[in-house]
Order: sequence, then structure tokens, then C-alpha cells
Amino acid sequence: MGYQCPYCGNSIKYGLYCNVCLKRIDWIEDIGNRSMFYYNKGLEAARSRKLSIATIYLQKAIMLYKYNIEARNLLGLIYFEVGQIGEALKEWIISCSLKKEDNKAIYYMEKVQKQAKTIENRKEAIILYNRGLGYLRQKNMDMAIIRLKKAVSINPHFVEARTLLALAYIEQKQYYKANEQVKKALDVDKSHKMALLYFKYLSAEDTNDVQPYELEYKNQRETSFKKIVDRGANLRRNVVYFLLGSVSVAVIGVALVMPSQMSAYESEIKQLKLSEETLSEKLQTVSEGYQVELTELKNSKGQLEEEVKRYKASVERLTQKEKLNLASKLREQGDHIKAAETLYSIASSSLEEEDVLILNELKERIYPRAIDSLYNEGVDLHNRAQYMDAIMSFETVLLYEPEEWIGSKTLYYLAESYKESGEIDLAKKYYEKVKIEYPETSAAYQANSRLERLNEE
Amino acid sequence: MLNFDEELAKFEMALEVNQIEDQIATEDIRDIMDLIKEGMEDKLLRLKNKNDYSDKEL
Repeated sequence: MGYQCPYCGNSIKYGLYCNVCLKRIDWIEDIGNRSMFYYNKGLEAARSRKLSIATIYLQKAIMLYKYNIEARNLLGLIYFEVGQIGEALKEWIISCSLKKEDNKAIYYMEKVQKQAKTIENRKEAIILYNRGLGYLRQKNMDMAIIRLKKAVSINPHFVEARTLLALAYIEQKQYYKANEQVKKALDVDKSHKMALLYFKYLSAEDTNDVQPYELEYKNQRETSFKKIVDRGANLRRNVVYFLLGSVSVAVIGVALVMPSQMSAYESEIKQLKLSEETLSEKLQTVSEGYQVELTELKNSKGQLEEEVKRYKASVERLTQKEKLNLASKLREQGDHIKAAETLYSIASSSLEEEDVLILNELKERIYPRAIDSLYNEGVDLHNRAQYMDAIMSFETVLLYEPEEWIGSKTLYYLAESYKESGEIDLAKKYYEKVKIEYPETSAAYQANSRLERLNEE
Repeated sequence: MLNFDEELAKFEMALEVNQIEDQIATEDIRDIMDLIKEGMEDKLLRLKNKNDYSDKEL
């Protein structure tokens, strides 16, 4: 191993004097050799997992010669292994500051930084350990145990935490749990002084039986081993249990649940039927009520219709009576033609008996006068060659049932007017009519001659 | 029989990561060589002072 001159820091080899500062340095070699001796012892102890002993040797090695980088790096590694990450980083940082190049500490720190989650967990484990230690110093055992259990669960290689937890369990006389922790601590560091002490102490206690107050703690190894070995049997057992459970549920359902459900359904059905009957009765009552109302309405309607009829009849009667009065007035005014027209429009069926008598009486008086007036008017119009107007007058005469003489003459003039206005067929028709209705009259003879003439044409 | 308090006193607080910087700053990382060197320098200094005094007396 090369050394550094303690005076000038220059790298030197064995010799009496430094070749730079020329100071005597023969005493350095012994110290350096001793440092290497301790380093080798530490390395040997570390290889056989006696980490506490290795730590002591390595601390001596660097105490003798701080530039023993190998020893310092190995010390850091051991600290890292037992969960003391703070100490580990400290040693590596110091190592890097003493030797900046070709140093394994750089590699260690780079590798650690890449595993950020692991570092975070180990940092948290240390914090929990410190808190647990604080709680124990305050004699708060429960809180301390919780923290320490969490610390060892995060970092199972945290020897100090396991040992402290074992101490807490020993204080609570939970020897089984304490023994477990001590064994695990010694698995990591076989030379941990306190773990060995507790192990020796616990060997005198009963650590095989789990006490009632330790029941939540069970040895996971055996059960997990069984799981691994009997997985198939476990599965079969689970399937059988499942089938049995299903059958049991089905039986219980049929025996207990279904009858009650059925009775519930039946009672519900009964209630629904009752409701239906009630509703039907109500509906019938309502329907009957409506029927009665409908009948009453129909009756009322009939009565109203009768009333309307009577009203209409009385209105009609009054109307006809008014016409009767009008006709009488017109007669008094001397306008027999309009009076006759009015009388003709009266519906005698609408009049009362006495009014019918009046009507007939008026007709007897007015019609003849109207017939005369209309006939004379028609003849006058015919003579003035106003044949269409003449036709209208003559046809009106016919409406009033004239006596024989005027009737025949009216028909004759009517035929003549049609002939003169070019309606030959109608003329012939009325000529025929004269002959048929009023034979043996002068009008009939004239009509006959006219007819013959027309047929010849 | 274990004495809980005595055993507990053997446990020390673990160094937390955020305390590393302060720890390095305050830690004495001198080794034996440094101490020997200081001792030798101190001895030489005292010898030198003694010689100087003797010279003066003479």
C-alpha cells in the first residue's frame, strides 16, 4: 500500500525520508502496516457475518491511518448492511474527500442514489428507530414497540432496531417475540453484542410457547410452508367447502325462506284481490250513478225538445197569423194582388181553427179580386208584347184556382204568350191543357185551332 | 436478569441522513499519524524554544 506523507501529503513508498519534504517518515510504515492488519481482520470478520467485530477492526484501521480507503469503504458497506445508512454515507463521503479518483465509495453512492425508494425506506426506518428509542426512554412501551416494529418491517436488516425491539419485548415478558427478533438480528450480524446477550438471557426463558398476550404473533414460516406444499389440497378443500355452503344455503332457502316468502306473496295477493273487489264495486256505483244521470239528462233533453217544438209551433202560428193580418191590411189598402200573395204563403196547418176560418174567408174575398187584376194585367202585357211578364201574371192566376171562364182564358193566353215568345212546346202543352180542363169553352176551340196550325207547321 | 435501563443506555441514536453534513463538519477525522505529527511538531517547537532561551542565557 502506498502512503501519504503526513507533512506534505505527497504519495510515498517505504523509505526513511520523504522525497519531497525530506522529513523523516520511517515511523509511518509501522502504523500503516498495523492499519492494514486491522483492515484484514475486519474483512475476515465481515465475510463470516460478524459485522460488529468487523466494525471495531475497521474503525481501528482508519483511526491509525485515515487514508486507508479500503477500510473506510468496507466500514461504510457494513453500516449500510445493518441499516445505518447515515453512518454509511458519512464514511463514503469522507472516503471520497480523501481520495477523489478510483474510489469504490463513488460507485457505492451512485448505486445507492439510483435506488431512491430503498433509501427513503431506510431513512424512514432510522427515524422510526430513533422515535422508538425516545419512547422507550419515556417508558412508553406500546408506542415504542409500534415504531420499532414498523422500522424492522421496512428494513429487516436493521439490527439495532431488532435488538431494541427484543429488549422491549423482554421487558414485557413476551419472550417468544423477543426470541424471534434476536434470532433475526443474529442472522444479519452474528457478533452483535447485545443481541448475543439477549439470546443468552432468553435461552433460560420459555420461548417455545406463545403466551396468550402474544397471540397476534404467529410464526409465518410453517403456515406459508404448508401453503406452498398443500396448495392443491387446499383448493380441493375450498371447493368442497364452497359446494357444501351452496347446498346449505339452498336447503335453508327452501326450508325457511321460501315458505315465508310464499305466505307473504299469498297475503299480498289476497290484499290485491280485496282491493280489486273494492275498486270494482266503486266503479259499478259510479257507473250506475252515471247511468241514472244519463237517463235524467235524456229525459230532460226530451222535455226540452218538446218545449222547443211547442215554441217553434207557437212562433209559426204567430208568423202565420201576422201574415193573415198583413193580408187583411193589404186588402183594406186595395192591393189585392199582394194580399192574395200573402194569403197563398200562409200555412193553414199552423193556424188555429178560428184563424183558419178567417183565412178561408179572406181567400174568398181576396182571391177573385186578385185573379181579375192579374188576368187583366196579363192580357195587357200580352198585348204589349211583354210575353214573359204576361206569362208570370197568368201563372199566378192559375195558383188562385180561378173559375171556369177566367181559368180557360188564362190557360189560352198563357199558351199564346209561350207561342209568341218562341216556346212552341210549352204553347202546345197549354193549348192541350185548355182542351182537356175546359172543354166546350171558347178558349178550348181557339186552342184547338191554334194547335192544329202549329202541328201543320 | 437483564436491567432494562442499563441495557437501554447502551443504545444510541442512529445518524439520520440530514445530519451527515453537520456530523462530518464537526467530526475529528485525525488519525494516529496526524496526532503523532502534531506531537512531534509540538515537541520540536518546545525544543526550539528551549534552545533559544539557553542561547540567550549564554
